[in-house]
Amino acid sequence: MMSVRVKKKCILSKDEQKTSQGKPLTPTEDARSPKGASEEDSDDEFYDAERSDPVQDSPTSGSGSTRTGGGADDAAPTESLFPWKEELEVLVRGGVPMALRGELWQAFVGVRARRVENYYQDLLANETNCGNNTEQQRLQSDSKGSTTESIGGPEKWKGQIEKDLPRTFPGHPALDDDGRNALRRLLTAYARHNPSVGYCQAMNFFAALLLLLMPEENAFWTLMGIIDDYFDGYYSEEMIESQVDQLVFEELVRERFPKLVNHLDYLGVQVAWVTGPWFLSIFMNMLPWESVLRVWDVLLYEGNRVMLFRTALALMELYGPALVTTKDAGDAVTLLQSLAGSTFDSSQLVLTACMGYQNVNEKRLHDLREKHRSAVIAAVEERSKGLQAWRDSQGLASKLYNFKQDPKSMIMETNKTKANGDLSHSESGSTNSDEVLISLTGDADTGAVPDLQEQVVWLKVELCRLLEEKRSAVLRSEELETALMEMVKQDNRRQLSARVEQLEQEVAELRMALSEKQEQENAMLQVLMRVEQDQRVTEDARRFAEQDAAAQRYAVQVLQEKYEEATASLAEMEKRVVMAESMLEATLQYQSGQSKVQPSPRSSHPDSSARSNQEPQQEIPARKISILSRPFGLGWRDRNKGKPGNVDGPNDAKPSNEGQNTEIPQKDTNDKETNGKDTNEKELNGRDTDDKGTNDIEEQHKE
Amino acid sequence: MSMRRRTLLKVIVLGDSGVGKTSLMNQYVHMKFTQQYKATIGADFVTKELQIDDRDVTLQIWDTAGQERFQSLGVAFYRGADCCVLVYDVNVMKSFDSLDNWHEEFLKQANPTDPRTFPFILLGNKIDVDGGNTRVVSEKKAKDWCASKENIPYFETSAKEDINVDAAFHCIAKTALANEREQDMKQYGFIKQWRFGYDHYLVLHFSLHSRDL
Repeated sequence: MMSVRVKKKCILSKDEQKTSQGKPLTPTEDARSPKGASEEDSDDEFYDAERSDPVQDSPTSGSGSTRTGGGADDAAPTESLFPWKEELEVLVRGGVPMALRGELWQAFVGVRARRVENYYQDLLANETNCGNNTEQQRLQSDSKGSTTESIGGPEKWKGQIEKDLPRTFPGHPALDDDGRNALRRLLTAYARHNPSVGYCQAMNFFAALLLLLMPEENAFWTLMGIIDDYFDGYYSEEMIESQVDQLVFEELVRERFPKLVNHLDYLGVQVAWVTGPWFLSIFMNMLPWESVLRVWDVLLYEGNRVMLFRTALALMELYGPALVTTKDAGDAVTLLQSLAGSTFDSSQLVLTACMGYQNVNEKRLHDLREKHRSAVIAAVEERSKGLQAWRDSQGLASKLYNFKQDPKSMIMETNKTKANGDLSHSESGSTNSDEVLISLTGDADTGAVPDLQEQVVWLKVELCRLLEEKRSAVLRSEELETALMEMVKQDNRRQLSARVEQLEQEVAELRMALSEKQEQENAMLQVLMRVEQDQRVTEDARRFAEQDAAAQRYAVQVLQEKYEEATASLAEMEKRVVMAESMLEATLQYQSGQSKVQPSPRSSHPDSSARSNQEPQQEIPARKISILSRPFGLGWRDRNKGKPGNVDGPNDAKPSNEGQNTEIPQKDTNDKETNGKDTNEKELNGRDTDDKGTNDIEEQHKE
Repeated sequence: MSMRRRTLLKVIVLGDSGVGKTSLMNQYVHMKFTQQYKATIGADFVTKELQIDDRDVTLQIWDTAGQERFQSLGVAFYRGADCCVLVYDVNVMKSFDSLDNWHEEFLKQANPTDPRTFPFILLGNKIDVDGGNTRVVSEKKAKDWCASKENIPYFETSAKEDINVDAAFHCIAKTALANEREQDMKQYGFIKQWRFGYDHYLVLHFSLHSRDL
């Protein structure tokens, strides 16, 4: 336990130095805390004696300044004093143990150095013990510092705090009635401690978290450290630093993730829509609890807001690729919100944040903030000024409106006030004009009190008259203005209507042209289709004709061949006829001769005698028989009829066959001695076996 | 043939802290009500898709933080809004009184093209509380206020009992859509018509060419 305390002390002092070193503008930054303290002093004079804060602060700030004066490289002195600094940093980044979190956070924030005895109790006692008197005193003291706060007073915070108490981690078991009371005390005390901030939503969550981790008073000092130092200017009325940080962050994102920003620009998404709430709540309710605590560990340890930026950048890195796929602004924002809410890998987040964005450091952020701050302040000033102007004009308008609505009642009212000025006080009118009237009458009252009552009445009458005059003048001017506007508008309208008519005409013309074109197109289409059909038909016809022609040509060719064959065979046959006739003649001559010599022996042995002596003569009758009888030739023809191979048909079968047959005797005549017998045998065989003969002839035909 | 375009409408919900902005939004979008709401920091965001007159509409509802100082961050959120929903608590006079402030603040920061016709809607919430016995703002008073602001529509709602919530948001969407259309007519009407004509010309041209081929 003791060792922890000692260690804590070391961390504490080291932390103090670090904060002073981390900030390049040490004089101003350090000057701030005593200044803040002095402001506090002015706020509550009673506690001046008890306060030892400045005394405690001065040594640390002194050491801080010497250190920064000593060297620009702030790491060296720190390391010499705390050689385990890096080790500690690694440990913190690795996650502080839950049991030690409360203690360590206090150490990181420097609660010990901040703590002032009884300060917290006195802030609270202020409420319970002292009544309205103290409140008023406080108000007066407040008005020195900031007039704006004094208007609303502590009640303003009170109302908001009361509203938010049940809305802080609703349903959390630790936040029962006692817990809520503690939360109320804590927030009230802080609001009193720093009236320029008072109470801002989001602080309720911080306070509640701190209350869960540490005793009430410690939580107060931690909260004070976080809001006053870490987030100085963040939660104040104007929230300037918060706006500055958003601009700075946007620049960083633009630099780091140009693609993503391009896409978001295209969708019309501002990064600040999502990251604004992230920064303001320090990721509470935006990330899973574990991740929130881990981010807080590092943030509180480092003593500045750098971790906010690093974490947000890491989230952009993690979820940028998914965001680039979104199609509209709503999707992008919803996706980023839901993805951030599911960042359960806290180690990855913290590691990515700390390691990936080391060049995003306090110095860099400081420069960027300086760059953007003036713009934000200018905008804020302009806004408040503009708002004032706007309100004035609106007030005037509403006055006019009221006047227009019911001028009589207004006059009646003025009459009434004329009659009895005090009465108008009780009648707190709801309209601005009434308020103006009241205040004016009030002024008149105070101014006229020392003098005569009549003077008062006269002044009032005069005032009312002037007021009325002014009102009527303003009304007149307004009327003129509206008339002018009306005229301008009418003029515009005429122009616009002319333009609209013209455009409509154009559109109608275009439509007509379009429909005409469409009709033409349709007609053309129809014609085209008809032509295409015709073309197709002709094409078909042509193809058929071509086929026919080919077939006919083929037939012609075949016929030609047949004709040639036929003529050839005819010629052969004629030759043979001539030969046969001559032979027949010869035979007849011979027979006539023979019959005279020996008529009987030839009839008894015609073959043997013929073969031995007159072979050729013998053969011819045989041939004749074969030609004339044609038993096998016909058979062959019948056969061929059935065969698909020979498409020549039956017509050419006969002549070709005859042609073939006639050729055999031609050969015979050429070499009678050698082939005569064979052919004879062949013929004989052919007569016996039709098959063989046909085969042979087929072969020959093929050749 | 004509592709259905999804219209995005941005709606901003404004009003004092604790009047029930988040509850109304949650009831409308998630049909849920719980007593355990966290205070809204900065702003929250939900979307809801619905159909208005055969048009697909996506409502982007921005729920803002009620605390006054958060208004300084409003510029970022308000810009480009199509409709602004003002909410007050019928049981809290102050929330009604600050409507003027919200109204002005919005117009100032959102800076719409025509502040007079920019659509607002007023919701008087929490009418269920204590059977209406704790009510301090009468319906007439609210309606009078609406009449003084270019007759903005008014609904009395209860996020808890789901009274009038759907009707109110439907009206919001419709009003926003009408406003968006008007803006469109004014700003892009000509361009759209021109583009329509041009597209058709292209189609015609192309079809003729394809025929030639």
